[in-house]
Amino acid sequence: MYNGLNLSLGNLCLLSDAKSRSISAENFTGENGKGGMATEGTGAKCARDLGRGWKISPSVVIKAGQTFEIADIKGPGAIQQIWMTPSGNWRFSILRVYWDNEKTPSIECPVGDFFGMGWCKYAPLVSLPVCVNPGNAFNCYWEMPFRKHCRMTFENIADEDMVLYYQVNYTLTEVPEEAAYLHAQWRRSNPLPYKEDYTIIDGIKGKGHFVGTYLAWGVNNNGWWGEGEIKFFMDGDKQWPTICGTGTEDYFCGSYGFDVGGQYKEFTTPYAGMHQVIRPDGTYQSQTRFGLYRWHIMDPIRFEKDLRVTIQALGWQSYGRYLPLQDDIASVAFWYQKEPHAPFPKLPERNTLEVI
Amino acid sequence: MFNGLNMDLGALSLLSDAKTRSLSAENVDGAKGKGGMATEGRGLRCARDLGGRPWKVSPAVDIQSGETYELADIKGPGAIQQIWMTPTKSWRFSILRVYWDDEEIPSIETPIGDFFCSGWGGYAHLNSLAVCVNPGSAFNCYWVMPFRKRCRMTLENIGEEKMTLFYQINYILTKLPEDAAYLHAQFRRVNPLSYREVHTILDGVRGQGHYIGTYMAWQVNNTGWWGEGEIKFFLDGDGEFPTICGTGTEDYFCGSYNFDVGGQYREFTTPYSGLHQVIRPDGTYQSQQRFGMYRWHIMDPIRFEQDLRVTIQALGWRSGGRYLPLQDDIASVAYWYQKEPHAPFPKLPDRDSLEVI
Repeated sequence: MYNGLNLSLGNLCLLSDAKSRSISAENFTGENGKGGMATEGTGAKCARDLGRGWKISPSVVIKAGQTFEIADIKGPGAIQQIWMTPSGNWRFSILRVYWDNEKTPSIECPVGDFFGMGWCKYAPLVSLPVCVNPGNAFNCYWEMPFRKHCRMTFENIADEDMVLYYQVNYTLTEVPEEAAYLHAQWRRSNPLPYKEDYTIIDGIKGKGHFVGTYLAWGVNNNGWWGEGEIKFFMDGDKQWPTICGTGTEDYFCGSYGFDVGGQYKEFTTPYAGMHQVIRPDGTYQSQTRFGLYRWHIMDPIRFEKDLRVTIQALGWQSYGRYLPLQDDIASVAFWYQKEPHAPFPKLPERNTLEVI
Repeated sequence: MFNGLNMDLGALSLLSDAKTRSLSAENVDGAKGKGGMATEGRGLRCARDLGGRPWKVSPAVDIQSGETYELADIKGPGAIQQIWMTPTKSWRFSILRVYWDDEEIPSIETPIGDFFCSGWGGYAHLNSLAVCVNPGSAFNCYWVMPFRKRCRMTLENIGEEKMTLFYQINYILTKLPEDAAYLHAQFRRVNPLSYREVHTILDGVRGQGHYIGTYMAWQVNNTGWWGEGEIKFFLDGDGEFPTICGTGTEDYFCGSYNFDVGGQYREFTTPYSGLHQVIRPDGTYQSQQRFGMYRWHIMDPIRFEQDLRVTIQALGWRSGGRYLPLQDDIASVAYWYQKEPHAPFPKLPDRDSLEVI
């Protein structure tokens, strides 16, 4: 019988023996028949006249410096959807996911960036794998299979406590041989050194496929900033990549400066978007910033052994010459691969993460 | 192991031995490890102080008036998975053609704008599963296009001016299953439609396949509502009467009651269908009321065994509650998959018959 994985609208009529479970502050372990049983929690005071069953524990408070364990699931199975709404600074909450008892996480990323909100401000995002709904509702629909175990944590590196509402929907089922593990890695360069390429991902070892890029881009010069080309170096490529783009807006499925009538125009599609344009206000909000995503859903970039992805930051200077930019660029790379994965670079310290 | 075809969000976790490749002006034949190597190109002058390559020396191509540029010549088996491009100049005067497996007549032949549902030559946002048009001239499609032996794709510039094309064609090389069919797209236009005749969207299809989409660029030549006409699918030997019969034009495009909200046409663009473009006359030179509409049969393809014909009526209203057969300017693109060989297409109209006037 159908294993309940690889869901799409077209296979929704199929029966399956897969078990559906869900973790939230109302059922920390996801155990069947154990939801909404709490007698203590963030809602206890509000329900003091109603008692148990009346939203006693809808959320958790994560103290400054604390790492909260969102999920600890015994496989095999797959996460199918995550919803969460974190308070506080979205760059100061670090999401980590460990598959099958691995020591180093496969996903390590500030929570805002993981959901395309690296600038810590809401912008609507309507895509197939990620939706951000008004005003800080983070949703993802990436399928995340695991065989033995899934552990998901949330670290609050801010000086203040934060509140987290969350729901992790998953299925317990057999996982086929060819199912790979989701990975997400965050990077930032502020500013990018002159004449250097920005590295979105490097050092991937193993077989897998690249499925998405999120970029939070702050420009530090006047004029258009998106001439730079993306490059995918795969399976032994050295100086020259196999896949070479033609411009930054081109990679994000836009055209000619994302310009309509002399203005940047936001868009958000199932597969790609420039969902966020932050325009300076002439006073303290002095920076022009962009949020961009490109999901490779219909066209994943498959690699056998290794992968490196870079993007140039190029604008224009006098006499029609390219200007290598020194911009504030952060990114998340999303890919699937077999374990083990190569260790990630050390996540930068808090001052290097901060939106300034 | 998974062959890497038939992608959707749910299949994204699966490993595959398929090889990913991509064509652009920075790697015109998609060869592995050969991207961004150009020493000459449109960007060379801009990169002159950076020492030329790898600083974006060849991001685009110029296609001269009258020239046919070969976008792709790929040895299969494989499948195109995504196309992005942004062509300058008249979108009716650039003709996209695709030839599968060394066939002599193309399986796709349509002006580039119409292929991406932008037949009127102006930008309108389109946000669907199969086609996205992003600000302000970014054409994207996600139709999977399998081929066994070869894929050849060309763009002909029939305009009198040089055009510039940025493009990226993402594809895989992999084994194809027996039941994978070939994408076809055919453009037609009547201007005006003859009185009491129907617009033929597609006719003469021979073979087994399934119809998966319609784009229409519709200009009205009378006042009032114009969309009473019914679409009809004549399949597998149907004679005078079709097997599938619609109930009205806006109904087929998954709208309702004239697309009217508060007495105004209301644009919409969904994963499966839309009225994504309404061009409103400005009272001076832009004097025509025009519409762009698409209907993808993604969850509900129309399967045929042997043959297919698709027509739509153009019907408005006249006095006394009587239907008025319209004489409108109607262009369409039909999209379908089928086994090869396909029946030859009607000859593409000449340039003056293509032009948006």
